Formats: sequence, structure tokens, C-alpha cells
Amino acid sequence: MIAQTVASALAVAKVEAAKTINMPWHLDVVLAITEAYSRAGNLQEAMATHWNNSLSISYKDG
Amino acid sequence: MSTLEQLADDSHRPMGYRTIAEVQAAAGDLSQAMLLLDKMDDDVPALCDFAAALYRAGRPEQAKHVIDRVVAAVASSPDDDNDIKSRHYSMIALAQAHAGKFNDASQTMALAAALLKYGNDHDRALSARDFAQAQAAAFDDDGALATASQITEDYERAIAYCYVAEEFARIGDLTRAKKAASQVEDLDWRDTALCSVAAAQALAGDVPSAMRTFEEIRDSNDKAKALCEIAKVQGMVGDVAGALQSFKGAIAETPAVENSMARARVFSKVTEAQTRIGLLEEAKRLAESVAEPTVRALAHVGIVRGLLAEEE
Repeated sequence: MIAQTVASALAVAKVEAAKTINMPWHLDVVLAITEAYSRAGNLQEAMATHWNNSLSISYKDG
Repeated sequence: MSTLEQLADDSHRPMGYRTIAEVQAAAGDLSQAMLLLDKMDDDVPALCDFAAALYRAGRPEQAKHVIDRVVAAVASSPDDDNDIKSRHYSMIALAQAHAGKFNDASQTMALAAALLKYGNDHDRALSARDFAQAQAAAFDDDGALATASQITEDYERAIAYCYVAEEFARIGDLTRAKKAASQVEDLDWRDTALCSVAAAQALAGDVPSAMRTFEEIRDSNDKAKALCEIAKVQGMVGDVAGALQSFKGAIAETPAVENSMARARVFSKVTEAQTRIGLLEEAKRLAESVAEPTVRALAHVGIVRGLLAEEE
């Protein structure tokens, strides 16, 4: 249950992070998301999130 | 990785490699993480952070391997960089002390100490500042204060006392931490030191002392950060009304915080703490109420961090 709640919260955070593209501090936001995915044990998503493109795709999809 | 190789600005690479290596180390994927060592060879702070991440991940052997490698790299750097070498040895000693490797830290600090005399006045002030921090982390309380007091440049002496206060706070020596913070002459750095002391006092369960320290802070960002830590402890000991009041106080400070990332970090701390003490819906409402994208994103990250902390 908690894992599902974390996954949902992470998905929301990622979509919100994508909205900061081309803004100051965007890289810091990306690092925060990377670290969150890492701590959640989702290394694949952490690595993908490290690159700005994955955030822009998720924003378009979101 | 291939994206990193294409980065035009070299200065971004170590941060990227360090992030990837730390993520891999945290996930237990050490073989890939260790392959990145060659790419971080000349970046001592990045390597020290990586070693610290390995220690945190419960990988002391690999961490020591990284430390040995960075010590060798520093030792082989040119002698005309002796002031830089001293600072690098102090950084390494700090990472070792933080990992509880006090004997190793002591040996590395001897290397740093032998080089403290090199460079011009400013170089020596920087070397002494970093050395004082490592001494404090290694429980050499008197030595750290003595080193800080001997720094002749006012600004660097202030930073040194701040670092020393933060290290004392980190190891739980709160009386000395408060005393060192009071010796910070620069008001901005004193606020930083007091913020760390207030957080440590709250963490130790002494909310009244933490509130008294909070009252001495002038800077809005440091005030907000201190209140977040106090609120977290209030919530954990069941003082939900007090926690809510402190959260409200922290948010009230944010309009005066000068940049969006600093504001974002405050909101992130608030939503994380709210989530940790069971106020998930409150945290969600707060995050949704924010219009500024960077702040809103970090507020949502705070919720994730709070949930993960709850899980741990």
C-alpha cells in the first residue's frame, strides 16, 4: 500500500518537476527527483530521470 | 552516460558522475559505480562525497579503496599546490571522521597539518578553516576551536567557527556548538550556525532550547529551516498543535527568502515533515496551493521523502 502511495506521489512530483524545464534551478529539481527514485529503490527510473528529456516526455504525457 | 560525455561544459561532468555513482552505490550496483572512478580522478570533493556515499551504503571496503585512491592522487599533485593539498587532506579526513574512521582521519589530518604553513595569508586561512572543521568532526574539540581562533582573516575565521559549530552539533555536543556559534562574528554565517544548533537541539528532544536558539536567528531562510526541524520533533512527540504552529511560522518566512530554490527547500522540508508525522493530506493541500513551479515540484518531492522516511 505504502509502495503504491510512494509511486503515485513520485509520479506527481515528476510531472511537476517537468514544468520547471528552462527555469532556473531545474537541475536541482532533477537531482531531487533522481534522489527520490533512488531512495525508493527504482534505479532505472532514477537514471532515466537524470536526463532532462525523460522529464519533458513525462510532462507531455502527463 | 553518453549524454554526459557530450556535455560541452566540463564543469558539469563531475556532478553528473558523482550523482550516478552515488545512485548506483546506494542501489548496490558497485561494479558500475566503481567504473566511474577514473572519470572523477581529479575531483577530490566529488570523490570524498562518493566515499561518504559508500560508507552510508554499508560498503566500508569500497569506500576505503576510494579514499586510498584519492589520498594517492593528492600526494602526487605538485608541491607548489601545497595549500590546496592541505585542504584536500582535510576534506578526506572529514569524510573519514563522518564515517567513524577516526584513526584513519587522524593519519590524514597529520598530512594536512604538515602543509598548513604554505600559501599566502588567504590560502593559509582557507587551509586552517577546513582543518578546524575536520578536527571538530574527529572530536578534537579544543584543537578545532584553537585552530579557528588563530585564523587572521575575519571572514574565514567566521566560516571556520560556523563549520566547527555545525560539526559539534552533528556529534551532539550542543553546549560547545552553541558556544562556537556565538563566536561567529559574521551575522549571516552566525545564522547558519545557529540554524544547525537549533535543529540539533530539537533532534535531541530539547524543543525549548531549540526555540530559544531560533529566536536569535535573523535570516528568514535559516529561521524557516530551524522551524521545520523543530516542527518535525514536535509532531513526533505528539505535539501536533505545536508542529502546525511551527509549520505555519516556517511558511510565513518564505516571502522574504530570496531565491526560488531556497523557498522550494523550505516547502519541501515542511511537506516532508508533515507527511512523516501523519499529516499527508495537509502536505498535499500545501503542495497544491503553491503557484511557483520550482517550489511546487519540491513540495511534492517533500511528500515522497516523508513517505519514504515513514517506510524506513
